[in-house]
Amino acid sequence: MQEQTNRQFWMGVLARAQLESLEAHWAGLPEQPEYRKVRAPEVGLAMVQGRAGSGGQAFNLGEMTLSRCVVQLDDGTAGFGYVRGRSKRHAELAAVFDALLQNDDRYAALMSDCIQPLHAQWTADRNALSRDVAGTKVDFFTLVRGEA
Amino acid sequence: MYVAVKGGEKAIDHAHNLLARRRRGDTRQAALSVAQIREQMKLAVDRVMTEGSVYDPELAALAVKQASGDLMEAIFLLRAYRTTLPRLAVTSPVNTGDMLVQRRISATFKDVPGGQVLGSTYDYTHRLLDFKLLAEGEAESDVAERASSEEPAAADESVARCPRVLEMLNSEGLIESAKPENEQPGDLTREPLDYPADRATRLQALARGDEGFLLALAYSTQRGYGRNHPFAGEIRQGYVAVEIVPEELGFAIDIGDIELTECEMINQFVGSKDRAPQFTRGYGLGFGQCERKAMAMALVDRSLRAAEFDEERDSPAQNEEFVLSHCDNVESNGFVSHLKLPHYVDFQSELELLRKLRKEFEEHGSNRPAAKTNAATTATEVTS
Amino acid sequence: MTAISTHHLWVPYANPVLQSQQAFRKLMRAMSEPGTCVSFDTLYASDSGQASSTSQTAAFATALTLLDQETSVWISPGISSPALIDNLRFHCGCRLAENASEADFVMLSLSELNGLDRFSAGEDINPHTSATLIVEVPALEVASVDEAHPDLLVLSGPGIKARKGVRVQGLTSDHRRLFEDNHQRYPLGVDFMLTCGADLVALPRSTQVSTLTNRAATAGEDTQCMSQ
Repeated sequence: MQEQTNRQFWMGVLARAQLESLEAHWAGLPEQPEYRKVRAPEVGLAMVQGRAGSGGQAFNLGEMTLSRCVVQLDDGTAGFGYVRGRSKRHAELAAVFDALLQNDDRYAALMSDCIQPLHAQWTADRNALSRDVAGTKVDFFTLVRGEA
Repeated sequence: MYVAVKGGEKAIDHAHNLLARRRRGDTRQAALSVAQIREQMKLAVDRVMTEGSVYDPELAALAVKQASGDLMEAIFLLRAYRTTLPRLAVTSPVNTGDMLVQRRISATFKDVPGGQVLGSTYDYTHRLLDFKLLAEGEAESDVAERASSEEPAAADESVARCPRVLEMLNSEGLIESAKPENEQPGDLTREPLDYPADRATRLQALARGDEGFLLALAYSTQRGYGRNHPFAGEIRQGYVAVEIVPEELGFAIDIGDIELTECEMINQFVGSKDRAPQFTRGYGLGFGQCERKAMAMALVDRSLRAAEFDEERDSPAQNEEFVLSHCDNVESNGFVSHLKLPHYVDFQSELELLRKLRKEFEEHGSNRPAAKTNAATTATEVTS
Repeated sequence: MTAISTHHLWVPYANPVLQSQQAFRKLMRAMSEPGTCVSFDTLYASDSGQASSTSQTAAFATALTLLDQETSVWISPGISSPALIDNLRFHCGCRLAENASEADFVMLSLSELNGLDRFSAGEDINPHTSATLIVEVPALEVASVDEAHPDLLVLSGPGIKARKGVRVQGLTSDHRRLFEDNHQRYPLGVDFMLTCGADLVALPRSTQVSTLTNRAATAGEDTQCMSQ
């Protein structure tokens, strides 16, 4: 797989963020820029595909809910939000942040104040899930060899 | 044939009201919230998502609540809801190899890289009713106690990325390899099923299929009706990233993570004069935690591949048309339930016919093949 | 696949549910009453100065209404422009077919319509899988069948009480033959949607097209353009 670009990275982080965290980051911006909705937020479905034998012929597993939105800043920059679930607001905020992050003047601050903390939160949640099950890992000992 | 019957609106309204009250139950008890169902009835929610064919825990929990816990009704509700939404994207095939593992076991190798991770499972419970759960206050403190008694895992202790068990066999050529094909898979939500179906379409039908029906069929293959000698090569459950490539962006983005359960069966080997013997595979995949379903799906997937391996096909689980046209519980439920619709006219004509035949019988003392006539009439009714 | 530039996106329906239903109703009427002109000008409030729009509103409305990500469209070189392509990809999410023969919908100009061989005419068992051709014409007008005119098409068949007349500017004898041949293949064949600006007249394969003029039987003629 190709290396993720910066934009792919932040879009993934925005999609996985909790809505409340995004709202907080939005409210915390020094100034909230004007934008118009090129595509109003909407809820739809994505057909999830799997692969037979995990690596073979693709097949349609079932659908999942998906929200999307496209916004445009006054300077013409377009931002896209595609997020799992049915939160139109989440899709809209993800799109706005995507647009703002494309602005060179805003990029550095947004990355350090918004994207990195959101990513750190997600990583921490994943590690917690992983640690949760770590205790259920089986330590086999072989009776024949009797080394245990 | 159905005849429109007028009237009954009032009675139906009252029935709806009564249903709403009965669904709520005794109002001295606190009402269940959708969030409670989502968190505490997770396996029911996951089944509704898998067979309802929509991954959305909140909607599935709502459906369970609305259906008073009747999962088939909840699945029906979710299926009906999905028809109201536009399809905005088709995801890239999920990569279950990159799963954030919450459970991962293999019945074929003891020491699998990444280890056997039991996760949260009912497997080793005693199946004794836990009366502590009945006394609710105690149950809460019990959970807290269990949480505090767990030794906190070290910060670096976690479950590593688990390589696939079947790939280890594949690297030695001991199992048929699963090669990716570029062909777009058929979609039975767009094109109706046509027989013979390809494997991709079969897997889609099985993924939506009724767990009970598939479990029974899977069991039948183990009891000798289409035996295919299975081993649970690997079962894993956890979270995987979902990626789409939006038309307007032209590159792939993650839209979030979903929980999946996957089962890879290792089955009976086949070989020929020109090909060294190899194990064959069966595959199961579903939303959320659905291990029993994924295993049953994998067994039935393999049994439906009988033709591919020139195996004798004489058992129900090997009969594609039988399995696929009866595994969807929304369809089965619909057709069985339709018998509740008024058949007054049909039945009157049957009654009349029966009376006539009986009269003839009495008059002539002969026994005409009445039963046959009856069967023919019923067949006409079903197709009408 | 290249990214879409959002700068030249046209304004879609402001109220997608309501307006696409209205547009669908118009297309339904056009298809079921061939020779009836429906107009899409009221569907677009062009008060939004932020985005450019298209003058081909009927073709765009048809695309917005009928195309989605499960349909494919082929756009002829004469019609094609980066703006059109990006707008169809963005607003409809439809696939762009590389070959005309694989497309469910085809967009082209009348001067490019010089044969039907390269468009899908469906199969005997599935005639509905044929292509729909959205043809932009220089001028389009409902006309009386009595006035002899070189551009006049006289239509008859299902959905038409007696006969209807349509004047299509730029029509050649080849086009007439092509419409007739298409009807002869019924139930196979393509369906036409002739568009000009905001107006649209449908010419489904079930419609018989002749050039006969000066005949009687003008009953049921409809010279009104439906604007609602």
